[in-house]
Amino acid sequence: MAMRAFDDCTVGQEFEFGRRGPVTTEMMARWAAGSGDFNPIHYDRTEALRQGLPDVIIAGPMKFAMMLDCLTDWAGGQQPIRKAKTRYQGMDVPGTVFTFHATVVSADRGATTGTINLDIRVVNQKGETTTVGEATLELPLRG
Amino acid sequence: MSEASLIPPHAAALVGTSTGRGAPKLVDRNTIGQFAAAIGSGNPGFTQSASVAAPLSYPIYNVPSGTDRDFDLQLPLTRRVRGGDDCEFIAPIQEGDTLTAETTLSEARHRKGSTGDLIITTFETRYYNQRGELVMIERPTGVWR
Repeated sequence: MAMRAFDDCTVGQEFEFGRRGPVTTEMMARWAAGSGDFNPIHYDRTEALRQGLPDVIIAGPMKFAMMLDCLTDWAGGQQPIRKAKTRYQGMDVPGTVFTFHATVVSADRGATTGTINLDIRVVNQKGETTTVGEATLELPLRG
Repeated sequence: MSEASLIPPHAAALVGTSTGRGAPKLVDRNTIGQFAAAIGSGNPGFTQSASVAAPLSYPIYNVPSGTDRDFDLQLPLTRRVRGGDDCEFIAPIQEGDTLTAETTLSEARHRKGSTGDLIITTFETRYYNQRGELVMIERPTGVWR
């Protein structure tokens, strides 16, 4: 996979950087077990419904991890992500397929690398943006 | 007239305090593989290299001591959801590293939302490797209803 370069990015550019899913309850159980986040809304459907939720809810940091993984893939396997943040504004349930979208909002060329800032939207298969975020990447210059 | 805060005095007194460094936790290949499976990642760097790299947000996933969970805020609202994450990735984390975490409660505030009372908590967790190098800073926001 070719490494993404700073010169490939322009301010205002919009792109899709990955898809992930459908998310299964098995994936959610693996996440809960590994993270130790045993908030029952992530694995106990009865409790989730009792709390007025539509189903068990995909943990926010699990969505964050998928976003970071897809963004790393988009960068071509290198690890250029210096900062990232998310705000979870909607709930996602098992069966969700996520599509990750970004817009380049700024680009600063340095002497040896360039830095880009992205606005990010995480969209489910219904077209709903359930997570928004930002990321800062440091990319190599071409040539 | 200002409204009474729902932040109990003992929780308010914890703002600005720290857990201290938690117990060291080894970054192992098996746990990295579990992380990759949980997020549906096919990245071979998590499973097939001679020394596998940890996924970027691995510390959030598997460093339980010295984290926000060590705070016993005893808030009057008990239904918690994650509001957001805010991370700085400072140095790579590899299989074989040993991480320790230290968390500070940055803020606990009460506000009225459209569906009723909310308490918003913000923590800052600093993760260090076995050489004492800061490798990641995480600032999670919690929303309590």
